[in-house]
Amino acid sequence: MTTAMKTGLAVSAILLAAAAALYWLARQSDPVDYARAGDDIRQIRQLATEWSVETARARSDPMGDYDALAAFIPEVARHKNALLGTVRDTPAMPERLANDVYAFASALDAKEERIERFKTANSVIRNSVRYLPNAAAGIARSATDQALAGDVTALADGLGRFAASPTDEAKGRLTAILDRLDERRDTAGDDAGAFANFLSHARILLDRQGPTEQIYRQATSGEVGDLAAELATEFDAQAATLSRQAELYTYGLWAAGGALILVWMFVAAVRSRPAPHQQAADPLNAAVDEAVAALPAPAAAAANGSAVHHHEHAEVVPVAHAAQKALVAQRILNEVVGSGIARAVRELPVNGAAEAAGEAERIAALAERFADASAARDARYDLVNLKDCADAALAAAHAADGATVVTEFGDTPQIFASRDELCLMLEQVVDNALAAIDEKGLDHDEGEIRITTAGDGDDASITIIDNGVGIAAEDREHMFEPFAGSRADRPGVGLAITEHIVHKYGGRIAVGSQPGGGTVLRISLPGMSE
Amino acid sequence: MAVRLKGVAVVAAGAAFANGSIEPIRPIPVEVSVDPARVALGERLFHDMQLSKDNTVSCATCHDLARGGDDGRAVSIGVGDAPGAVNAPTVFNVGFNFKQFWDGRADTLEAQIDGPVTSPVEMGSLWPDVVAKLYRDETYPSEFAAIYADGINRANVKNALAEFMRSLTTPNSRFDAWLAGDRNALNDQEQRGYALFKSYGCASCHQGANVGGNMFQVFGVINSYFTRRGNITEADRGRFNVTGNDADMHAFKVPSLRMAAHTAPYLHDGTARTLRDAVDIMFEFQLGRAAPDSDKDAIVAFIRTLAGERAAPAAAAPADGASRAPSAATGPAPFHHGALVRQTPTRSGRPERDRAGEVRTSQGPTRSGRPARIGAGQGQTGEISP
Repeated sequence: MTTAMKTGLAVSAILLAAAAALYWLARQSDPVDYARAGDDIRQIRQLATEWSVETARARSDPMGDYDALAAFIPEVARHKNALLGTVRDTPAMPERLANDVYAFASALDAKEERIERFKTANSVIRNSVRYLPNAAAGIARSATDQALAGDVTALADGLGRFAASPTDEAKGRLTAILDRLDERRDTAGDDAGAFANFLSHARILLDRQGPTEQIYRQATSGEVGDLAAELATEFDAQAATLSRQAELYTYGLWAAGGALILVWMFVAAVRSRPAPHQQAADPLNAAVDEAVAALPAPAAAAANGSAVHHHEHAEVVPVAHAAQKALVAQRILNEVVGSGIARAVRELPVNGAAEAAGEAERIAALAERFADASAARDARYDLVNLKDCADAALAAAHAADGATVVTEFGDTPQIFASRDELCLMLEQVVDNALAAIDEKGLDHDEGEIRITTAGDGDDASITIIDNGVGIAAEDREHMFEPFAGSRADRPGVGLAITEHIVHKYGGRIAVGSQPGGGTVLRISLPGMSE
Repeated sequence: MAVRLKGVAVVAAGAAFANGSIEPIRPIPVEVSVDPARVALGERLFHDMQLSKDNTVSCATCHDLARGGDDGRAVSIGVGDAPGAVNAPTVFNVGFNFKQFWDGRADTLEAQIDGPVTSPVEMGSLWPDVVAKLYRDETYPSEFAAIYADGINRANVKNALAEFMRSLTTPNSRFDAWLAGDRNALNDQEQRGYALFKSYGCASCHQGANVGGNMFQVFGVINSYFTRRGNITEADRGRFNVTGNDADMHAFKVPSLRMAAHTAPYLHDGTARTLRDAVDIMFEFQLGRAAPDSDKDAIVAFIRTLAGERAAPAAAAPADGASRAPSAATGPAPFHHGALVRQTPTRSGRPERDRAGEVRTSQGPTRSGRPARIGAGQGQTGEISP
């Protein structure tokens, strides 16, 4: 797996986790909770209004009972407790909202307490309001002093009006009458008790009506209603926000999940593709290693006393057979080396004769000319049997007459490819084998090339084993790179072309070698399944 | 609590007929919506001494249903013979109280139950112990399971007890009959007592269906009761203990007068031994007014007409009532629950069928087959005997 894949997977996994976390957070704050809280607040607001109206009724009705007023307490408490329960059960609720709810609950408690205090004070007022007129009438009836009787009646009447609307002016005037009557407390005679009662209740009314009115105004103030209106709006807004967020996060979750699945599918697809030849775990390598082990030990060659030496050998011109083949070779060459070939060729250290340098220069120029056009030219595709191409390659080998060729052609699946390219590929391989045998300086009857084809499931594989000079360990690293060879008379593009074609058809290539003992090259290409 | 105020319109019309205006006192609803199964379970718990620490005290110990719903003592005696701090209120009609306890510290009957069960001078229990005891009982587990999905727990024990208490109402009193338009349900003295009750100002606080129980009032609103009595206790501070507000110093929940005929002694400290004593104290400290004896006697006579019949379906025998001597000071005979109006002769000779059908219509049949006995107040004034 490449770094890019890992990064893609990690990024999409992080995205998914983030989306899931946001979604989870959004689910923690169910908009329904906030909507329900809003409903409770609105209910409380309605109740608080009715509560105040009922309080006003209790204030103006001296004979009324408090049952209706008391009935609000459990109703309000029910909604208040539901509201507080919602806050308690919604840990994700913003602290500001929670605090507003607590403040609201406190205001409600305060309202209840004020209404209770009003009821308490109002009862005292009621009692005096109802008592005073009757008491005044009794005193006036039995009074001998008309001025006193007049004062008593005036005080009772005044206090009746004062109870309905207490003003400072009235209070001052009534206090003056009360003080005047108070001085005559002792002259009341037989009715002293009733007179004293009258005066004390008048004093109670005068003293307490103002504070009771104040308590009444506090109890019926719109504070709770205002708070409720604000709070309900806040909760509704929060519910709406959360609904939108939840929607958004749901989309985000799907998107991140989809991204992860796509990346995973991509990675899975890449991983199931044929692995490059470098992979040690590839069975192809194992097969090659096995074949390499079977190669003759280089010691045997050494024992024969045959030193590595050069000797003149007929020049092999692999691309000389036909114009068609030449074109294919040219195109592949260009595809392999690309537009940078000229520079690469010119930089090559040329140790050979002037002709060799000229040859390199010619190749460079040629490559340069065909570079762009080659890639665009389509090859003709066909169902190709590896064996047919191997035959074509062997024709070249025989022509070279450099070695004994042993073939073992098993059935292989056909490959959908350009026949010319596959043949070119095998020609390169056989050419390389001949060159290795040649380089080792074996006699013609000593050199051997063994070619085997076999079906390997859906794949077709071909193995080429030579007993040539082999590839030095230090050269193997670069053997697939163009111009990697060290021989001036060979451009060193054979293996590069081979690998290029193998990969072009999704195949794999493995090379094993025992320096001085030979080389094993195995190619596996995906075949056409039935 | 859902109380169906059936017949309120009729009552209002009757009240208008009575004296030409809406009355400050409303009738006790004839029907109360309760779950009979919970009521039956609550009744058993109410009489169960296992709720107390040493299995010696039940709710009924201090709230004797046969004696007006309290114990006739100035202050109750809890586990280990510990005296309580205040006079035990009646358990009848508590569902109509706006808050519970003298200082109103419990908003609901359920919340109130924590008080007596865990108070060290009452039942002295811990809830886990109570629940554990009930679990070991032979029948409680199945009885609870039949009603509550989560079986025996503190909340359900309280709910059953509260439901039972909600069923303990006393509708169809003579006064309620008078409110409903029966002109002969009260005699002249009682009617005069009601008129005085209103004109002296008693009805300023003792109003509503429960004739109290729906507000707080300072004890000693005109003259200082506690200065006179002395020896002020923490409990005497009343509502102040709950709110910490100076305005609530010595404020108490105005007690219901519905069962006053049967619940001597009176006041939060139990110092008024008779109803007349209580009326005297009220006149002095709450009304700041003198009144002739005849007026006060008339008011007492009126108050005695407020107690109705017990409407609850169940009528279990009091578990421990026999072991407690009746208060010698109170005079009134025990309140016999289970009484039926149709068997209560009224002075008017009003046809019984009018009311008999209203009784217990929402309740199950009585569990005890005991013959119903004559109800509230009979024999007290002598005037209502046949």
